[in-house]
Amino acid sequence: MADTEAPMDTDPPKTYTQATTSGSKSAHIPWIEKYRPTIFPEIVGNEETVARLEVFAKQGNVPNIIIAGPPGVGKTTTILCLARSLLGSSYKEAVMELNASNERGIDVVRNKVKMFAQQKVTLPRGRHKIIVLDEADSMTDGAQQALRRTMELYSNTTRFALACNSSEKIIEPIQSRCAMLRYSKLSDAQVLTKLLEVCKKEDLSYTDSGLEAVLFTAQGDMRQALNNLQSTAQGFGHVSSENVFKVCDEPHPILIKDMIQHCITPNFDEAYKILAHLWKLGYAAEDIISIIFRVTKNINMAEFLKLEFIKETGYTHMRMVRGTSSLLQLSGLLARLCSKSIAAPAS
Amino acid sequence: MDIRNYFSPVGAKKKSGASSLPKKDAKKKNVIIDSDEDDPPPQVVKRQRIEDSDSDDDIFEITSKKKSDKKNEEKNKNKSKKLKSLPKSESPKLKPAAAAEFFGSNPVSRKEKKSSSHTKEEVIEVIDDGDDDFSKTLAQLDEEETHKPKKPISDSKASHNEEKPKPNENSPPNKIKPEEKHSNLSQSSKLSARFRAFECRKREHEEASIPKSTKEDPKLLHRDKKIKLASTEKIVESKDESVTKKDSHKEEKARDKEREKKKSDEVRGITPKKEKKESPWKVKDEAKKTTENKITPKKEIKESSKKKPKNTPGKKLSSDIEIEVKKESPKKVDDGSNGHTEQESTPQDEKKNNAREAYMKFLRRSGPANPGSKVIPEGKPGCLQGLVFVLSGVYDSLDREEAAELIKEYGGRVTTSISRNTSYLVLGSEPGQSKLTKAEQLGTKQLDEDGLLDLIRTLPGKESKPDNKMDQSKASCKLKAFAREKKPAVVVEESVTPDDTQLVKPSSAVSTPSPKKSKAFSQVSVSSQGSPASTSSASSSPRTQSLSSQEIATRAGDVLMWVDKYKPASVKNIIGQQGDRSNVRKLLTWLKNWQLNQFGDKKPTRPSPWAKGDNGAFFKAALLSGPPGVGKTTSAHLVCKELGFDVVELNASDARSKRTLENVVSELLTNKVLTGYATSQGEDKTSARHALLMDEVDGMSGNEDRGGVQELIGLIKKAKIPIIAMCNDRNHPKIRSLANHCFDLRFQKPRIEQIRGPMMSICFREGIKIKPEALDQVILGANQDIRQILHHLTVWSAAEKNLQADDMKKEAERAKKNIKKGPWDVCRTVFTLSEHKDMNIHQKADLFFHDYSIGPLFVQENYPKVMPREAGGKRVATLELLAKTAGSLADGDLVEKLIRSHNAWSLLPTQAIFSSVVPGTHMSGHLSAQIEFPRWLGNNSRRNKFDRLMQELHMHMRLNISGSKLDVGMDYSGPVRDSVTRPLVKNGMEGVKEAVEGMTTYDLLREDLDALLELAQWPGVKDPMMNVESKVKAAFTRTFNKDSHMSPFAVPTIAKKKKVKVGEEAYGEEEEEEEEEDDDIATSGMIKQKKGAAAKKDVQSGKEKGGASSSKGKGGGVPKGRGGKGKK
Repeated sequence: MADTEAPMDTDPPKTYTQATTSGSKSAHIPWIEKYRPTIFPEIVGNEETVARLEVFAKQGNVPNIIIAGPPGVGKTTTILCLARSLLGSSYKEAVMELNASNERGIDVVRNKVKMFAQQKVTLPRGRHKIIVLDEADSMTDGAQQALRRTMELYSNTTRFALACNSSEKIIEPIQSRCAMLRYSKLSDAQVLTKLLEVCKKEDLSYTDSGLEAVLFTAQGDMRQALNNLQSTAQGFGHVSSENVFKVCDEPHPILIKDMIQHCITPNFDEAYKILAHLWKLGYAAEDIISIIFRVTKNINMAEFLKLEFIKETGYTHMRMVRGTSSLLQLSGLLARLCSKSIAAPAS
Repeated sequence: MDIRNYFSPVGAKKKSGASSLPKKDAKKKNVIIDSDEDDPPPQVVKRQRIEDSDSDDDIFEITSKKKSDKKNEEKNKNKSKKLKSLPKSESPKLKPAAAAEFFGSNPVSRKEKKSSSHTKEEVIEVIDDGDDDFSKTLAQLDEEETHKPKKPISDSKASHNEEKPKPNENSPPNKIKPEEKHSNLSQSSKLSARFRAFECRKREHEEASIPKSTKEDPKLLHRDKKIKLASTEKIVESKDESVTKKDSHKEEKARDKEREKKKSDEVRGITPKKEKKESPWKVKDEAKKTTENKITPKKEIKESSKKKPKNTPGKKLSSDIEIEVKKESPKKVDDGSNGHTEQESTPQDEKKNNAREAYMKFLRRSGPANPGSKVIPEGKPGCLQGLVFVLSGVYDSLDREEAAELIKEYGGRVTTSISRNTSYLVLGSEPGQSKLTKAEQLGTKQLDEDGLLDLIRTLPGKESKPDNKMDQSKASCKLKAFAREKKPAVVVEESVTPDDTQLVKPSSAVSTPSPKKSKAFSQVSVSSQGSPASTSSASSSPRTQSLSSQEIATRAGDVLMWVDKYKPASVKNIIGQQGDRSNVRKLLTWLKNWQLNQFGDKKPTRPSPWAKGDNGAFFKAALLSGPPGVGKTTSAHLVCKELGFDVVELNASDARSKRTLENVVSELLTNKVLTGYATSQGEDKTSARHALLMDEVDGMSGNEDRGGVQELIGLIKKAKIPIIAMCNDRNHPKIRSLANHCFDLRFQKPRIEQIRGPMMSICFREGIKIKPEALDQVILGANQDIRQILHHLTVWSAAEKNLQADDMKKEAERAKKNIKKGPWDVCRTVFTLSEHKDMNIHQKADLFFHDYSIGPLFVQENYPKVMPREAGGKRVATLELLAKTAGSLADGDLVEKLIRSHNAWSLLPTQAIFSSVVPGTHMSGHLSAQIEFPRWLGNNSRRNKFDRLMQELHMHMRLNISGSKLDVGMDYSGPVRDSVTRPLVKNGMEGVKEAVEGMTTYDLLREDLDALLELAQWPGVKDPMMNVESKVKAAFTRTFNKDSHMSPFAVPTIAKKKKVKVGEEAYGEEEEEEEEEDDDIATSGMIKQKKGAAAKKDVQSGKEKGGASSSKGKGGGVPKGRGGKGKK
């Protein structure tokens, strides 16, 4: 998945050609489009699934597929690649793409989609028209219901390719009619290789910590990574850790993590230093608290203590929502967390 | 859709005709007989045949046989002319021979045979080569009718097309000619099928058996002689013997053919008995038996022979077919003659009885216990060559047909009854008694299923006809193998087929005068449908095709998804629905008896909802419900097809609002399908039988389909045709109302074992190597959804044909269907330790997000029922945990309030922790009681209602009281109520006046009293109105209504007469209201009488149902204020 996404966002081969032609920093299209893969080998991540689809692209007769996965892993890119390699020159006539920006209500499914499925397009053997439903999880239940029989009745001439983020929003009957392909998040290494390629093509100056920061902010989302990289590169001309975090304004989770660790120890003074630092940097209390919440959930600590921490964080968050978003509240939170830690071993 | 449906039944009929059983029932019986029963089959066959004889089909059969004979002759001629040049031979063969023979009447054909010894000889040759194949094809045809895939047919047809059509296509007149011939003869369908088979064989034959023709010549002569003169037969036999020594196999085949010919001759009028009795063949046959390996069971022959003489020609035909199916060798024929004499002696009645019993037993018989549970070994090609098997009973893992296919695949033969030639009797559970005894008599070796598999594993292969057989998949018949050899030609044919059908159709229309012709055409068209190449008949082709040879598979594979490719082609192939108690069976009988049940003299009564074994006779519609991918739609279509219904399908992709349903459906249902005119030559062959399939009823949603379900219910009520509705979620509120009017058939997910077998065979056909364990993982991963399993297999096998169990497990895990959990499941998972112990905090939080509006309510409702493990059963500890949980829930409630009021959705994860994760952590254990729906919702709506009632009362009483709305509820309601009810309770009729005064004092309306009663009613307290006699109540209402009440507020004049029905008649409300005012006084009396009895109930029910409903009964003539509100 990650691999596929990466290519989608930043297809290395494309980038090479485009980068060389357009010059590294003067490109007017977003890098994610510029480096979107058009052929299977360029797709990064989820190699197994992509390899299978590649076989289908050669043989034809693809089943209906659903590709599910987090954003930025290459779902749409994969489908487009598949359609392009299957249909080649007749891509235009034989592919219908509908995404969430199109109206896809029950009427559209009953009329437009059905009409398209009924249309005759001359294609080589084993090739079928493809209806691409991007972001299928945003389709209403009714529209999905209306799709059911259409998928079956016209399976001789038409195949469906659906992309979605959360497959549970696809109704079960549709899932049953499709082969489910799950894309997973791209690993940092996969994203990094793409980033390096892009950097090379765009002729960027970067530091390792800068790329690391990009990876951290992207969380396995190739699209995000490329966007962040591009913003940093265009804003500062140099990809360093500081620049990245300046662009992607977010309290650094590592700092927060340290802070929580200090609370566990418990060492209120150290924890407060970090908090004061963050506060000084000008982060909003809401941002800080939400990061604390996220980090606490992921941190490695005793389960019951973690729940206590989360509860306290939740109470504080509630207060902030009511309007008391002050440093005092955050400090109070830290103090309570520390006292919880002290009480914990005793209990 | 219609067209397809239309075609399919036609095709089926023709096929059936081809096989010799025109009627479906007859078909079923035949099938059963063929496959399962030892003794009974012949009898049953007889019955069928009799039936056949009544109908035109008999004639067809006869003619078809004749035709086949003629064809053979033709072919022979062709061959003789152009043995080595295939293309030439194909086209010319048909034309020259056909013209003479087809047109010629039966006697003519006979004469030809007799006169033209050469031609006959040739025929024999052909037969020799092709006999097995031919028989197989016939068998296939039979099978196809009942259960087997249609691909074989399509293949044969395709091949047919290949050979014949070329000329035909090029020159339309040519086509017409052969078909005309067919028509003259009678059913061309059978002919065509055989014809194709013959052609296929011819090719093989040409390759191998050119020299044989000379040898066989005597046989041909021999046949003719036999037919007429026994003495001649003897001579022939002597010749035959000599021949047999040289080519025993060929001779055998020739004999089979001869047999067929004999039968046909018999049919024509020659008495078979003479032949058989006279036939010295028997002697020869015995000799042959000793020499030859391929000895076939004599019983079969006997049976067939018996049937032939006794019954009408139709029977004979069928018997022939059976024989062919069994691939009996000529020896059988001899046996048959013997048996024939024997059978004649036995009384028919007995047989019938036996047959009936056996048939009943067969019906009760279940399918294989563990289908697919055993690994089918890969034996050496042809390892069973020359062995004859008889199958009996139910096997553990193999379907009977599968077993037969398996044996055939390895070159063995399967016969239905035991003879001396039988090598093995393969026993399952419940074997046929007669077979057992016979086997003991003859000393036949007995095997069980494992023994058979071992045999395949261990026996060395033989290389007689290995190539063909090897390639064949289990289901594939020899035809397919032939088709393969012809591959290049096939391709051409395929491309041609669509044209063919087009050409043929118009021609058929033109040549409608002769009914037979038209049938032939229809067959052709059907075949074209079946052929994968015809993409034009897209929707139909997938249906017709199913399990078939690899060849076809690969050809079709380009175009079709596996799901379509392996779609069951008959009711029997539906996975998990083979049993006699299965839903499909129920649906079948329901549909079959529909007309009778609905319009018969006796109206069936509505069954009680929990009656078992209901056959649904009462209902006009059936509702199939079940998870996706279990075969609901497929079942419905196949059942309709099997019973010859035209299907009108509406699914979620059609707009199904009230209006469109009205228009479209009612129009559709009065339509007739015209295809019948084209195919049956203007006779009333148009099937007036329609069925309406409403697929995906739960998909009727949104504005587009408004009123659709109501309209559907209306349609069902007045339907003159059966309606089959399908849905996934039977408990959907919309469906629930529908379900009341439907015969409820719930489809369950098939078990893994049931799926495994068919999937294994598909994998085998697709060349995928997969271990059963791996397959199990796939099946589990797809949640027993057959369709999804196939999709997954397609994808996963795309790159790697050898699938490992570990990989599959991983993949299946990943592909696991992501089913949105219902709140019940969520709640269970939250509290059940075993279910959430492996989850991390994120997953636990995700549970909350399944439905974060109702999930917390479920948790709150059910947390006291959990037995927390942490507490270890101690009460104090449990209470502490409960307290903690309650605290957390309270926090969660606070958070939710904040979220909703401040729109602070960033707090949602926090709520997840408070409302779901923390309670789950504290109270993790097991639920000691059933999870209940949160009562909060009901209580909340009740509170709202009371609030509304208080508001209303407060408004009415405002001039007379000083309290607030809350005071009305808390303080006034009781005393005010008492002021009205006490006089009634105490003084009865005398108190009425006082009561009415009480009402007027507070400016109350009649329905305000009901509101008061409800408001002042506390749990555990007796309702004062309970003690009031209904008479008194009625008097009270009347008195109250008589007086005109001056009220300080405007009384809404809207009133409803019968609110009970309002729900259903929402549309007609306004008219009713008008009527009501006129009727008020007149009806009030009646109402009182009626309501008198029901009054008490009303009062009681009022509490539950709500204020408005309680006011229905007594409402009399008083216009009611806000009846509508109260309903919900």
